Formats: sequence, structure tokens, C-alpha cells
Amino acid sequence: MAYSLQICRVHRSDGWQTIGYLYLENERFIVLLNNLVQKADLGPIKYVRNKHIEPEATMIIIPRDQVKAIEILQEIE
Amino acid sequence: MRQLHSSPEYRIVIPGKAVSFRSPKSGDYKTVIQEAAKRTFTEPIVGETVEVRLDYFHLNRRRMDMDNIAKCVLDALTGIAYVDDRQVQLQASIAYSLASVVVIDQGVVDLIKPLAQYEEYLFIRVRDVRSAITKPNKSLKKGATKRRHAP
Repeated sequence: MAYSLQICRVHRSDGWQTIGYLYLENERFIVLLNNLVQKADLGPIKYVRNKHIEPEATMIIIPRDQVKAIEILQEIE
Repeated sequence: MRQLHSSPEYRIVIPGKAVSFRSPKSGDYKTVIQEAAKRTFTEPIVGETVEVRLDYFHLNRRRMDMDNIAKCVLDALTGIAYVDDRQVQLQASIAYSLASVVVIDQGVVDLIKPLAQYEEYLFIRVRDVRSAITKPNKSLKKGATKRRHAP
């Protein structure tokens, strides 16, 4: 799968702003990733993990009703 | 990237609200868990040191009683993920309320993937810890210590 995460800034209703890779956006949540090592794993869940390494990241889940605006800072190809 | 142990880690995702073992719905919930577990496990783990981790993503604002949810899950997995729940030597549970902002510090990315489909779900991880113990380095003689060289 192509590596196509965008860096964005989320303006929250509590006055805070959160910056990270936009991983998921739907009608309920916005999920940002930070502290990514190498590429994010964008594929489906692996229900059996046999490999010795697995992607990790700091994940920030923001409920949609607490989002005022999303600002795209950088497009990544 | 996280260093996983040499044993496989099995994952099960149960959509919807998790159910306590005290609930009258616990029987139905166990059936749902068992059906999902059968799709992941071909045979039960026979090792005596099984680790079960639960991550529950929910929309409630109040604190969840993960202990009672864990009892329901451990009971449901008996006979499918492991032979007997006495094999489970390590069990950890954490609940995330999605009613407010959640930050998971350096977690596996698979944990949040079900959010694309479900508002609430229970993410179950099972593995045999004992088979993950690394073998000693046979190249070292008895009593010898491995010397570290400065870079």
C-alpha cells in the first residue's frame, strides 16, 4: 500500500491543537500518529503476528465532535 | 518498531460493547468471542504461560470494570485459545474512553485499525510467553562472559 499520510494540525474545541500524521478520518473520529519509526503500517490488522517486529506509534484519537478544523500542513507522496 | 517475541501473537477483535461476566448477556457475548476466536486459532495453546492483553475502546464516560469483562473473555477463550484458563499467567486490561481525546503512547498500530469500522470494540491479544524465551548463546564457553567492544 502506498505511503500517503498527510501531516496536519487539528484545532480542537478545548483550545488545544494537535499535530501529527493523519491516519484515519471518519464521521466519528480523527486519528493522528506521531513518533513513527519508518513507515506506518496502513494494511489491515494482522490477526496472527509471526514477525519479530511490528510498527509502533503514539496514537491520538480525537472524537469528531471535539474537532473545530483540520489544517493540512504537508502532503507526502 | 516493537521487538516482538519469537512466539506468535494472536489477535481477536470483538465489535460493540463488552459485557461483564455478571451480566445476563454474558452467555451471548461469550459465543461471539468464541466464534471470532475460532477464526484465529487453529488449535489451543498448550504452554503453561499464556499472556492475555485486553484493550477496550468504548464511548462511556464512566470508568469501566475491566476485571469483570476480563473474566468473561478468559472464560470464553478456554478450549479455543488455550486448554484451561489456569494457563493464563499474565493478564492485563486497559479501557480507553473515546468520549474524550485518547493518547496511546508508543502502542502497536493494529490497536486502532478497527476504528475505521467500529465505534466500540474489544481488542484481544493472546500469546504463549514461554516459547518466546530466547535460547542461550551456545558459542560462549561455560563461565565465559560476552565482551562488549567500544564503537
